[in-house]
Amino acid sequence: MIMIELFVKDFTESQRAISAADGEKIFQKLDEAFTKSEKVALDFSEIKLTITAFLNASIGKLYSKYSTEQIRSLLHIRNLAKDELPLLKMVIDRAKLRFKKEYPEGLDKIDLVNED
Amino acid sequence: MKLFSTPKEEILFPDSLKTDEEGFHFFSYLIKETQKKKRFILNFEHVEWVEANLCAVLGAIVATNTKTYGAKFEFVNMKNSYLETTLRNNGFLKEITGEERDTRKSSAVPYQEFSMKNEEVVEEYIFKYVLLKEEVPKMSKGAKKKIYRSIFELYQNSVLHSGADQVFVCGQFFRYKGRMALTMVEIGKTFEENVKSCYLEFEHFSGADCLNWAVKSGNTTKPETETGGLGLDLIRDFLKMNQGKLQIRSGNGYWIEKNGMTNFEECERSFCGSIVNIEFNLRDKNEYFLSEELDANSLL
Repeated sequence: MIMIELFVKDFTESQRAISAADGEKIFQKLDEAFTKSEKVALDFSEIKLTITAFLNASIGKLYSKYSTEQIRSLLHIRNLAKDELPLLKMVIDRAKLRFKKEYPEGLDKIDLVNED
Repeated sequence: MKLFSTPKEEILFPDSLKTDEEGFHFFSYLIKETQKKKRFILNFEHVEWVEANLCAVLGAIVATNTKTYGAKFEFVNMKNSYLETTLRNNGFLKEITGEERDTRKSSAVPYQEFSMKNEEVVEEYIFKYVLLKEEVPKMSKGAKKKIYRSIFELYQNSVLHSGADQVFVCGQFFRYKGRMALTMVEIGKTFEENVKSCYLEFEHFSGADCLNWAVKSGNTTKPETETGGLGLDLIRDFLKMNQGKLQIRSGNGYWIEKNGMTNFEECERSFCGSIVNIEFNLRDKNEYFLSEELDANSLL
Protein backbone atom coordinates (compact mmCIF):
# COMPACT_ATOMS: atom_id res chain seq x y z
CA MET A 1 0.00 0.00 0.00
CA ILE A 2 1.28 3.47 -0.88
CA MET A 3 1.94 5.79 2.01
CA ILE A 4 1.15 9.48 1.51
CA GLU A 5 3.80 11.85 2.82
CA LEU A 6 2.81 15.12 4.48
CA PHE A 7 5.54 17.53 5.51
CA VAL A 8 4.52 19.78 8.40
CA LYS A 9 6.86 22.48 7.16
CA ASP A 10 4.85 22.78 3.93
CA PHE A 11 1.89 23.90 6.04
CA THR A 12 3.66 26.05 8.60
CA GLU A 13 6.17 27.62 6.18
CA SER A 14 8.30 28.03 9.27
CA GLN A 15 10.39 25.94 11.63
CA ARG A 16 7.76 26.49 14.27
CA ALA A 17 4.40 24.72 14.33
CA ILE A 18 2.57 27.20 16.52
CA SER A 19 -0.72 27.84 14.78
CA ALA A 20 -4.00 26.01 15.40
CA ALA A 21 -5.08 27.07 11.90
CA ASP A 22 -2.10 25.24 10.34
CA GLY A 23 -2.90 22.25 12.52
CA GLU A 24 -6.47 22.25 11.22
CA LYS A 25 -5.20 22.20 7.61
CA ILE A 26 -3.13 19.11 8.41
CA PHE A 27 -6.12 17.48 10.12
CA GLN A 28 -8.19 18.01 6.96
CA LYS A 29 -5.52 16.25 4.86
CA LEU A 30 -5.24 13.37 7.33
CA ASP A 31 -9.01 13.04 7.51
CA GLU A 32 -9.28 12.98 3.73
CA ALA A 33 -6.73 10.15 3.55
CA PHE A 34 -8.10 8.18 6.51
CA THR A 35 -11.64 8.09 5.08
CA LYS A 36 -10.13 6.29 2.09
CA SER A 37 -8.06 4.08 4.45
CA GLU A 38 -4.87 5.55 3.03
CA LYS A 39 -1.78 5.54 5.22
CA VAL A 40 -0.03 8.83 5.92
CA ALA A 41 3.50 9.61 7.07
CA LEU A 42 3.43 12.94 8.89
CA ASP A 43 6.95 14.30 8.71
CA PHE A 44 8.18 16.91 11.20
CA SER A 45 11.60 17.42 9.59
CA GLU A 46 13.03 20.90 10.30
CA ILE A 47 10.29 21.68 12.84
CA LYS A 48 12.00 22.93 15.97
CA LEU A 49 9.03 23.90 18.10
CA THR A 50 5.42 22.83 18.46
CA ILE A 51 2.67 23.96 20.83
CA THR A 52 -0.42 22.16 22.13
CA ALA A 53 -2.79 24.34 20.07
CA PHE A 54 -1.13 23.03 16.89
CA LEU A 55 -0.95 19.39 18.03
CA ASN A 56 -4.54 19.42 19.32
CA ALA A 57 -5.83 20.67 15.98
CA SER A 58 -3.72 18.37 13.79
CA ILE A 59 -3.41 15.10 15.74
CA GLY A 60 -5.56 15.31 18.91
CA LYS A 61 -8.72 15.95 16.91
CA LEU A 62 -8.26 12.67 15.02
CA TYR A 63 -9.35 10.83 18.16
CA SER A 64 -12.80 12.42 17.95
CA LYS A 65 -13.37 10.63 14.67
CA TYR A 66 -11.15 7.56 14.56
CA SER A 67 -10.35 4.79 17.01
CA THR A 68 -6.89 4.41 18.48
CA GLU A 69 -6.44 1.22 16.40
CA GLN A 70 -7.33 3.04 13.18
CA ILE A 71 -4.96 5.89 13.97
CA ARG A 72 -2.15 3.48 14.84
CA SER A 73 -2.56 1.64 11.57
CA LEU A 74 -2.95 4.69 9.33
CA LEU A 75 -0.66 7.34 10.82
CA HIS A 76 3.10 7.23 11.01
CA ILE A 77 4.89 10.14 12.68
CA ARG A 78 8.39 10.83 11.44
CA ASN A 79 11.26 13.03 12.53
CA LEU A 80 9.58 14.75 15.44
CA ALA A 81 12.34 16.17 17.65
CA LYS A 82 12.91 14.22 20.85
CA ASP A 83 12.19 17.18 23.09
CA GLU A 84 8.76 17.66 21.46
CA LEU A 85 7.62 14.14 22.34
CA PRO A 86 6.41 14.85 25.90
CA LEU A 87 4.09 17.50 24.46
CA LEU A 88 2.74 15.07 21.86
CA LYS A 89 2.20 12.50 24.61
CA MET A 90 0.28 15.05 26.69
CA VAL A 91 -1.95 15.98 23.74
CA ILE A 92 -2.67 12.36 22.76
CA ASP A 93 -3.37 11.25 26.33
CA ARG A 94 -5.75 14.15 26.76
CA ALA A 95 -7.50 13.48 23.43
CA LYS A 96 -7.97 9.79 24.28
CA LEU A 97 -9.52 10.78 27.58
CA ARG A 98 -11.80 13.43 26.07
CA PHE A 99 -13.07 11.22 23.27
CA LYS A 100 -13.25 8.00 25.25
CA LYS A 101 -16.24 6.00 24.07
CA GLU A 102 -18.47 5.09 26.94
CA TYR A 103 -20.87 2.28 26.30
CA PRO A 104 -23.84 1.54 28.57
CA GLU A 105 -23.33 -1.19 31.13
CA GLY A 106 -24.62 -4.64 30.13
CA LEU A 107 -24.45 -3.86 26.42
CA ASP A 108 -23.96 -7.57 25.59
CA LYS A 109 -27.20 -8.52 27.34
CA ILE A 110 -29.11 -5.86 25.39
CA ASP A 111 -27.82 -7.39 22.14
CA LEU A 112 -29.04 -10.84 23.22
CA VAL A 113 -32.50 -9.51 23.98
CA ASN A 114 -32.64 -7.82 20.59
CA GLU A 115 -31.70 -11.02 18.80
CA ASP A 116 -34.83 -12.65 20.20
CA MET B 1 -11.23 61.11 38.57
CA LYS B 2 -13.37 63.32 36.35
CA LEU B 3 -12.60 67.03 36.61
CA PHE B 4 -15.08 68.33 34.09
CA SER B 5 -17.24 66.73 31.48
CA THR B 6 -17.89 69.00 28.49
CA PRO B 7 -16.82 69.58 25.85
CA LYS B 8 -13.83 67.51 26.84
CA GLU B 9 -13.56 65.04 29.63
CA GLU B 10 -10.37 64.93 31.60
CA ILE B 11 -9.21 61.75 33.24
CA LEU B 12 -6.48 62.04 35.80
CA PHE B 13 -4.09 59.10 35.86
CA PRO B 14 -2.96 57.74 39.25
CA ASP B 15 0.60 58.42 40.45
CA SER B 16 1.64 54.86 39.86
CA LEU B 17 0.47 52.24 37.39
CA LYS B 18 1.71 48.77 38.10
CA THR B 19 0.80 45.34 36.80
CA ASP B 20 -1.33 44.54 39.80
CA GLU B 21 -4.94 44.53 40.94
CA GLU B 22 -4.97 48.29 41.46
CA GLY B 23 -3.56 48.96 38.00
CA PHE B 24 -6.12 46.66 36.39
CA HIS B 25 -8.85 48.35 38.43
CA PHE B 26 -7.90 51.71 36.92
CA PHE B 27 -7.88 50.32 33.37
CA SER B 28 -11.31 48.74 33.93
CA TYR B 29 -12.56 52.19 34.86
CA LEU B 30 -10.81 53.82 31.90
CA ILE B 31 -12.19 51.46 29.27
CA LYS B 32 -15.75 51.83 30.50
CA GLU B 33 -15.53 55.60 30.98
CA THR B 34 -14.20 56.25 27.48
CA GLN B 35 -16.78 54.22 25.58
CA LYS B 36 -18.33 57.40 24.17
CA LYS B 37 -18.00 59.64 21.15
CA LYS B 38 -16.15 62.30 23.03
CA ARG B 39 -12.73 63.89 23.41
CA PHE B 40 -10.78 62.59 26.39
CA ILE B 41 -7.80 64.30 27.93
CA LEU B 42 -5.61 61.72 29.61
CA ASN B 43 -3.76 63.71 32.20
CA PHE B 44 -0.42 62.30 33.41
CA GLU B 45 0.29 65.22 35.73
CA HIS B 46 0.70 63.12 38.86
CA VAL B 47 2.16 60.04 37.26
CA GLU B 48 5.51 59.03 38.71
CA TRP B 49 5.71 55.44 37.56
CA VAL B 50 4.23 53.34 34.77
CA GLU B 51 5.30 49.81 33.99
CA ALA B 52 5.96 49.86 30.25
CA ASN B 53 4.25 46.53 29.55
CA LEU B 54 0.96 48.19 30.58
CA CYS B 55 1.07 50.15 27.33
CA ALA B 56 -0.58 47.04 25.88
CA VAL B 57 -3.66 47.74 28.02
CA LEU B 58 -3.68 51.48 27.44
CA GLY B 59 -3.17 50.99 23.70
CA ALA B 60 -5.96 48.42 23.52
CA ILE B 61 -8.38 50.81 25.24
CA VAL B 62 -7.45 53.80 23.07
CA ALA B 63 -7.52 51.85 19.80
CA THR B 64 -10.75 49.99 20.54
CA ASN B 65 -12.76 52.92 21.86
CA THR B 66 -11.54 55.15 19.03
CA LYS B 67 -12.63 52.59 16.46
CA THR B 68 -15.83 51.39 18.11
CA TYR B 69 -17.21 54.54 19.76
CA GLY B 70 -15.46 57.36 17.95
CA ALA B 71 -13.68 58.48 21.14
CA LYS B 72 -10.68 60.79 20.71
CA PHE B 73 -7.73 60.86 23.08
CA GLU B 74 -5.14 63.42 23.98
CA PHE B 75 -2.20 62.73 26.29
CA VAL B 76 -1.15 65.71 28.40
CA ASN B 77 1.37 66.63 31.09
CA MET B 78 3.98 64.00 30.45
CA LYS B 79 6.44 66.19 32.28
CA ASN B 80 8.14 63.37 34.00
CA SER B 81 11.13 62.56 31.79
CA TYR B 82 11.24 58.94 32.97
CA LEU B 83 7.65 58.47 31.85
CA GLU B 84 8.13 60.13 28.49
CA THR B 85 11.30 58.18 27.82
CA THR B 86 9.64 54.90 28.77
CA LEU B 87 6.67 55.44 26.49
CA ARG B 88 8.84 56.76 23.69
CA ASN B 89 11.39 53.94 23.87
CA ASN B 90 8.82 51.22 23.43
CA GLY B 91 7.20 53.01 20.49
CA PHE B 92 3.93 53.70 22.31
CA LEU B 93 4.03 57.47 21.82
CA LYS B 94 4.77 57.05 18.15
CA GLU B 95 1.80 54.75 17.81
CA ILE B 96 -0.59 56.94 19.81
CA THR B 97 0.43 60.45 18.85
CA GLY B 98 1.53 59.63 15.32
CA GLU B 99 4.90 61.34 15.83
CA GLU B 100 6.99 60.43 12.84
CA ARG B 101 10.45 59.64 14.11
CA ASP B 102 11.10 56.07 15.09
CA THR B 103 12.11 56.30 18.70
CA ARG B 104 12.16 52.66 19.62
CA LYS B 105 15.15 51.60 21.64
CA SER B 106 16.59 48.18 21.10
CA SER B 107 16.33 47.48 24.82
CA ALA B 108 12.53 47.69 24.83
CA VAL B 109 9.95 45.05 23.98
CA PRO B 110 7.81 47.38 21.88
CA TYR B 111 4.13 48.11 21.98
CA GLN B 112 2.44 46.55 19.00
CA GLU B 113 -1.03 45.74 17.71
CA PHE B 114 -1.45 42.48 15.79
CA SER B 115 -4.25 41.19 13.67
CA MET B 116 -5.36 37.80 14.99
CA LYS B 117 -4.88 36.45 11.48
CA ASN B 118 -1.29 37.62 11.19
CA GLU B 119 0.47 34.89 13.08
CA GLU B 120 3.74 35.14 11.16
CA VAL B 121 4.19 38.75 12.25
CA VAL B 122 3.67 37.81 15.89
CA GLU B 123 6.21 35.05 15.49
CA GLU B 124 8.76 37.48 14.10
CA TYR B 125 8.08 39.98 16.90
CA ILE B 126 8.60 37.44 19.68
CA PHE B 127 11.74 36.14 18.05
CA LYS B 128 13.23 39.57 17.42
CA TYR B 129 12.24 41.46 20.54
CA VAL B 130 12.14 38.72 23.14
CA LEU B 131 14.36 35.78 22.30
CA LEU B 132 17.22 37.65 20.72
CA LYS B 133 17.56 40.15 23.54
CA GLU B 134 20.90 40.22 25.24
CA GLU B 135 19.34 39.22 28.57
CA VAL B 136 17.76 36.07 27.22
CA PRO B 137 20.68 34.18 25.63
CA LYS B 138 22.15 33.60 29.08
CA MET B 139 19.46 31.02 29.67
CA SER B 140 19.60 27.37 28.64
CA LYS B 141 18.22 26.31 25.27
CA GLY B 142 15.48 24.36 27.07
CA ALA B 143 14.39 27.38 29.11
CA LYS B 144 14.31 29.65 26.06
CA LYS B 145 12.22 27.14 24.20
CA LYS B 146 9.74 26.98 27.06
CA ILE B 147 9.46 30.77 27.14
CA TYR B 148 8.78 30.85 23.43
CA ARG B 149 6.24 28.06 23.69
CA SER B 150 4.46 29.76 26.62
CA ILE B 151 4.06 33.01 24.71
CA PHE B 152 2.63 31.24 21.70
CA GLU B 153 0.28 29.13 23.78
CA LEU B 154 -1.08 32.39 25.22
CA TYR B 155 -1.36 34.00 21.81
CA GLN B 156 -3.24 30.99 20.39
CA ASN B 157 -5.57 31.11 23.38
CA SER B 158 -6.48 34.66 22.36
CA VAL B 159 -6.92 33.63 18.73
CA LEU B 160 -9.15 30.69 19.61
CA HIS B 161 -11.26 32.09 22.42
CA SER B 162 -11.49 35.90 22.41
CA GLY B 163 -13.42 36.44 19.18
CA ALA B 164 -11.43 39.69 18.85
CA ASP B 165 -9.78 40.94 15.67
CA GLN B 166 -6.66 42.23 17.34
CA VAL B 167 -4.30 41.52 20.16
CA PHE B 168 -2.19 44.24 21.78
CA VAL B 169 1.22 43.32 23.12
CA CYS B 170 3.95 45.12 25.05
CA GLY B 171 6.77 44.00 27.29
CA GLN B 172 9.41 45.17 29.65
CA PHE B 173 12.77 43.91 30.87
CA PHE B 174 13.45 44.46 34.54
CA ARG B 175 17.21 44.34 34.38
CA TYR B 176 18.01 44.48 38.07
CA LYS B 177 15.49 41.82 38.91
CA GLY B 178 16.49 39.71 35.89
CA ARG B 179 12.92 39.38 34.75
CA MET B 180 10.84 40.07 31.70
CA ALA B 181 7.12 40.82 31.60
CA LEU B 182 4.96 40.49 28.52
CA THR B 183 1.36 41.68 28.52
CA MET B 184 -1.23 40.61 25.95
CA VAL B 185 -4.63 42.25 25.77
CA GLU B 186 -7.69 41.62 23.70
CA ILE B 187 -11.02 43.35 23.88
CA GLY B 188 -13.49 40.58 23.24
CA LYS B 189 -15.17 37.71 25.03
CA THR B 190 -14.21 37.31 28.66
CA PHE B 191 -13.29 33.98 30.24
CA GLU B 192 -16.62 34.13 32.08
CA GLU B 193 -18.61 34.57 28.86
CA ASN B 194 -16.81 31.63 27.25
CA VAL B 195 -17.18 29.29 30.22
CA LYS B 196 -20.85 30.11 30.86
CA SER B 197 -21.87 29.86 27.21
CA CYS B 198 -20.29 26.42 27.07
CA TYR B 199 -21.39 24.95 30.41
CA LEU B 200 -24.87 25.85 31.65
CA GLU B 201 -24.13 24.16 34.98
CA PHE B 202 -21.58 26.93 35.74
CA GLU B 203 -24.20 29.66 35.60
CA HIS B 204 -23.64 30.42 39.30
CA PHE B 205 -19.85 30.85 38.81
CA SER B 206 -18.35 34.28 39.40
CA GLY B 207 -15.82 35.76 36.95
CA ALA B 208 -13.01 34.63 39.25
CA ASP B 209 -14.46 31.08 39.51
CA CYS B 210 -14.55 30.90 35.70
CA LEU B 211 -10.89 31.97 35.51
CA ASN B 212 -9.86 29.43 38.11
CA TRP B 213 -11.73 26.71 36.22
CA ALA B 214 -10.19 27.66 32.87
CA VAL B 215 -6.58 27.48 34.03
CA LYS B 216 -6.91 23.87 35.21
CA SER B 217 -5.55 21.02 33.16
CA GLY B 218 -7.99 19.58 30.61
CA ASN B 219 -10.70 22.20 31.09
CA THR B 220 -11.67 23.70 27.78
CA THR B 221 -14.52 25.57 26.13
CA LYS B 222 -13.74 24.16 22.71
CA PRO B 223 -16.48 22.30 20.78
CA GLU B 224 -17.06 18.63 21.60
CA THR B 225 -15.17 17.44 18.53
CA GLU B 226 -12.01 19.27 19.56
CA THR B 227 -9.54 18.81 22.33
CA GLY B 228 -7.72 21.40 24.42
CA GLY B 229 -7.20 22.76 27.88
CA LEU B 230 -3.49 22.07 28.09
CA GLY B 231 -1.82 25.33 27.12
CA LEU B 232 -2.38 27.31 30.32
CA ASP B 233 -1.56 24.31 32.46
CA LEU B 234 1.70 23.82 30.59
CA ILE B 235 2.60 27.47 31.14
CA ARG B 236 1.82 27.18 34.85
CA ASP B 237 4.02 24.11 35.21
CA PHE B 238 6.90 25.91 33.53
CA LEU B 239 6.44 29.11 35.53
CA LYS B 240 6.54 27.15 38.77
CA MET B 241 9.98 25.82 37.87
CA ASN B 242 11.08 29.11 36.39
CA GLN B 243 9.81 31.05 39.42
CA GLY B 244 7.80 33.27 37.14
CA LYS B 245 4.38 34.79 37.45
CA LEU B 246 1.07 34.63 35.58
CA GLN B 247 -1.78 37.10 36.00
CA ILE B 248 -5.14 37.19 34.24
CA ARG B 249 -7.76 39.93 34.53
CA SER B 250 -10.95 39.20 32.59
CA GLY B 251 -14.51 40.40 33.23
CA ASN B 252 -14.79 40.73 36.99
CA GLY B 253 -12.22 38.05 37.68
CA TYR B 254 -8.61 38.40 38.72
CA TRP B 255 -6.31 35.39 38.94
CA ILE B 256 -2.65 35.30 39.87
CA GLU B 257 -0.06 32.58 40.38
CA LYS B 258 3.35 33.45 41.71
CA ASN B 259 5.97 31.16 43.24
CA GLY B 260 3.48 28.32 43.03
CA MET B 261 0.89 30.21 45.11
CA THR B 262 -2.48 30.81 43.48
CA ASN B 263 -4.99 33.48 44.33
CA PHE B 264 -8.18 34.53 42.61
CA GLU B 265 -10.84 37.05 43.46
CA GLU B 266 -13.86 38.92 42.21
CA CYS B 267 -13.33 42.60 41.37
CA GLU B 268 -15.74 45.47 41.59
CA ARG B 269 -15.22 46.66 38.02
CA SER B 270 -15.42 44.55 34.92
CA PHE B 271 -12.85 44.61 32.12
CA CYS B 272 -14.58 43.79 28.82
CA GLY B 273 -11.89 41.49 27.48
CA SER B 274 -8.79 39.86 28.88
CA ILE B 275 -5.43 41.07 30.10
CA VAL B 276 -2.82 38.37 30.46
CA ASN B 277 0.56 39.19 31.93
CA ILE B 278 3.34 36.66 32.02
CA GLU B 279 6.60 37.31 33.83
CA PHE B 280 9.67 35.15 33.31
CA ASN B 281 12.71 34.79 35.51
CA LEU B 282 15.62 35.29 33.13
CA ARG B 283 18.12 33.96 35.66
CA ASP B 284 16.63 30.50 35.41
CA LYS B 285 19.54 28.03 35.39
CA ASN B 286 17.42 24.92 34.80
CA GLU B 287 18.32 22.91 31.72
CA TYR B 288 14.88 21.31 31.29
CA PHE B 289 16.25 17.94 30.22
CA LEU B 290 13.93 15.16 29.20
CA SER B 291 13.28 12.63 31.91
CA GLU B 292 12.02 9.81 29.72
CA GLU B 293 12.73 8.26 26.35
CA LEU B 294 9.67 8.22 24.12
CA ASP B 295 8.84 6.95 20.66
CA ALA B 296 6.33 9.04 18.72
CA ASN B 297 4.41 6.15 17.16
CA SER B 298 4.07 4.23 20.39
CA LEU B 299 2.26 7.26 21.81
CA LEU B 300 -0.59 7.02 19.28
